[in-house]
Amino acid sequence: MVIQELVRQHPHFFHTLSALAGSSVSSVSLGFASIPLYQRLFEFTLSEAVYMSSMTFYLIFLFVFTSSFVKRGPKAILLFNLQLCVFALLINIGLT
Amino acid sequence: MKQNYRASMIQLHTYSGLFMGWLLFAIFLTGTLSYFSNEISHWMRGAVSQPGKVNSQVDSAFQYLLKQGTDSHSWRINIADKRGSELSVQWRDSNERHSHSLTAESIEPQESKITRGGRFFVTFHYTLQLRQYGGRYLAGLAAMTMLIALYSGIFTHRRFIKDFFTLRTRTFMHFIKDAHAVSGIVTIPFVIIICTSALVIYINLFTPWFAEEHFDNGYRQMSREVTERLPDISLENRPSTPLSSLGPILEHAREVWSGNVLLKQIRLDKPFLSTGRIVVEGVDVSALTNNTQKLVYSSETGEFIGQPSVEGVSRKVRRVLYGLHEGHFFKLDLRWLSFLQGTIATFLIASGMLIWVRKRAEKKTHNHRLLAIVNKVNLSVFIGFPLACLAYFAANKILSASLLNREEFELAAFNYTLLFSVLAVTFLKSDKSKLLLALVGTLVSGLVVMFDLTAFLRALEGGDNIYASVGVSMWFILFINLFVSWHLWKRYRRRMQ
Repeated sequence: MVIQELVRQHPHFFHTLSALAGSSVSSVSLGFASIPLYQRLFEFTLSEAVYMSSMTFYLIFLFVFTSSFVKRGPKAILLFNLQLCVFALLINIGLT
Repeated sequence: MKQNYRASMIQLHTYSGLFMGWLLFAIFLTGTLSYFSNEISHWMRGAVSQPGKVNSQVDSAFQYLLKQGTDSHSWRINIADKRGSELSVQWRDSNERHSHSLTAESIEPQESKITRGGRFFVTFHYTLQLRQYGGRYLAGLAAMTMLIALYSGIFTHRRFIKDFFTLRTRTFMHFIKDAHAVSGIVTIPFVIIICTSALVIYINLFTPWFAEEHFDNGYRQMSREVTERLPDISLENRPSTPLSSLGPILEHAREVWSGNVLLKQIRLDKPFLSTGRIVVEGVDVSALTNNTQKLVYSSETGEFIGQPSVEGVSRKVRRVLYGLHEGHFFKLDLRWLSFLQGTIATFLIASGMLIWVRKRAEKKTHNHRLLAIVNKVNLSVFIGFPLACLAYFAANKILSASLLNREEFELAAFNYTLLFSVLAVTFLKSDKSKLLLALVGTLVSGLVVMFDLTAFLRALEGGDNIYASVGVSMWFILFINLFVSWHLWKRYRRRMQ
């Protein structure tokens, strides 16, 4: 109840906070998931795949963070990012 | 929160800009100056000399090192180039590092001012003078925020063609809004490349998790695996004497390299051991990458050992982005174009912040205390930083070349001028503080021009175009300051009447 009241009083702050937290976690998950993807698709060595995944992390973060702002509230944002995390997990399981 | 996609993007654009605007202004301002860091360093050292032929430079530097660096295990010769960087030698013994500037004509150290020169702007650009306190993380955060502001800005100012051809001058608000939109459109590709490459340059620092997970020694180990390796010299490690001349090595390097590669540096590792090697580094002036071409020779016999191993694709991508960020390959026209783009991007950031305050001040429904604070910080940063840069130049010209720790005094001039700007803006009314800072700017740039006059005239006579160009820029800055001061003085008097 207290949290709900806080969210109601400071909607901008909590919206931004959840977008930042959610997109950070999901971008890192997608970054990890992209490592086996680089290895399989482009036949990169492990070190090269890790390097490339670090580079793509920024791009993923940019799009996930901005997309989070279109969602209707902190709950929707966190759900959206949770879906991305599950997607990243599936890629990892599927490729390794 | 907002159902409309564009409304969400406007909100994101506004607050991401506000969150990092001041920091971004300082980063873009110093980054723009960094395009001419070598030229600024040349001007600040005050040494009016021509680089001379490469062979004479190498010969002079090598003879100096043979004489002075006898206890050293590492020598370095940096070759002077057409952009004003000087011929210098560095060597390292067990206790400390030594560095001296030389000329191609003599092996006596050259008398030039000890200064950080243009490198100060480069270092400030990515560390914010907070290297040990997370400055690089802050700069990275600013780059990411700028990318977010840019991406959301594309949706905010979506009428590109119309915005590009619109510049109303009826009121200040109209002008600044249109100028913000135009400068945003013009600098989109520049800002994308600059911010993306900035993030990729410090990839090890900003995203360490992936490497930590897969390698025992984290990013260090991963970097080693993707970076080129110099060939080893498999010989018995015994005391030895280095070659007496580097002439034959230079001849061989010229044969191997095409005409586009210019000699940049010669490194001698362990010059007094039989396993010592000479690494000759050249820059391909037509390549995007910041990597140098290297040739390795034995320091004992001068025999060509080979070239480094080929780098991984990922490392090459980083190097190309690094090259694009720093513009190593830029010729003068492209360098000026990038400088102009950097200036417009700096204006873009400042205008965005001004629009935020003006829009809310017009509505009169917002928190006025917050608006006043933002307005004062705007003035402190947007006037204070350029003024601090001018004070840095003035300190360089005024302080004696023999002054102990003169580098620190130059830095202090930068910091205290910034502090002065903040205090002036905090304690004076807006009109008064603007006028005062404009007058101080005129005075400081006047001092720069006055104390530089003799060297400037000598450079004009001696044909030192780099020195003269920076000198002319200082005159230009003085005239701008005079014009702004006169304009503000007129406005101030009008309001007083």
